[in-house]
Amino acid sequence: MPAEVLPDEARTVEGSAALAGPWVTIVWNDPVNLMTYVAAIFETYFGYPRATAEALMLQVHQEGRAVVSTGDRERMEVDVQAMHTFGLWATLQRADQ
Amino acid sequence: MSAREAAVLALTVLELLERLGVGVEPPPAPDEPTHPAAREGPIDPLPHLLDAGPVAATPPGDPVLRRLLPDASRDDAQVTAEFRRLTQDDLLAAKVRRLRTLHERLLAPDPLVVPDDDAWATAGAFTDLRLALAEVLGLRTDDDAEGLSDRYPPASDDPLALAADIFGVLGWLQGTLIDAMTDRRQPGPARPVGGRG
Repeated sequence: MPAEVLPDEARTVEGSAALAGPWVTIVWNDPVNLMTYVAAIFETYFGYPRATAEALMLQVHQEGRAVVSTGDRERMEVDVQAMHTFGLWATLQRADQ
Repeated sequence: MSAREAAVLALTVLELLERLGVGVEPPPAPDEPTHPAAREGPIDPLPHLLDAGPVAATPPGDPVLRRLLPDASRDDAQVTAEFRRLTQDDLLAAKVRRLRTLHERLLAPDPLVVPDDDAWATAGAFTDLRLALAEVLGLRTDDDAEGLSDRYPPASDDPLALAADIFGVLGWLQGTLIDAMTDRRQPGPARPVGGRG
């Protein structure tokens, strides 16, 4: 995916991706998941304030994907597993990919 | 929700459980007798996916399973395989558990009353059912989902019309559940409006 997309998305998440770690979790849009459900997941699981959670949800909905967390690979695997448990499609990748 | 409607939803849950390779009842504990005549209760007729040997590292062939247990990387097969090895068993077990709980509740009185501590699990089960139905209905984009009732109008005799109907009902159920969980219910006289941001 285009490298220029990542810095804007990383700024959306609380804290800078450049400081937090070398891997990211990305949530992808899908035609099934309700916007209220997605926002509630971001608020509850990640602890983001409601406004941030809704901004991330809108980014997923409008842009097709959003970076929802950053950190080391093990932490991203935990986050991806949680997203899959909720029924979202998420992937992990290196932050500089 | 009528008992008949709940029964239709329960059947949908059962169909998904069977597609996941499990039945409604969990398998016997290791120390229970395995001879059918010696056991009480229904026998799980299908091989139990969770009792399989080493966890598969390859993506499931069934598209429904693949959506419920998706790839963890877009382009790195090694990351994806490692992730499946680590998580697939637990993920599938969690999804099966909550689908079974939902199935039980749908056949019980007050199927729409969800205890607080069951709310997220119920929402997750609704999602998995909708994901499976979306695969059956060939929904790929937001527009596909939004145009569903146009493709399958009420008078339609297309067999997929029932799947589309159930998809819609589950979406409504899940939406009202999320609203209740996040306190975005429609306000009564004493409650403030708001919460939708």
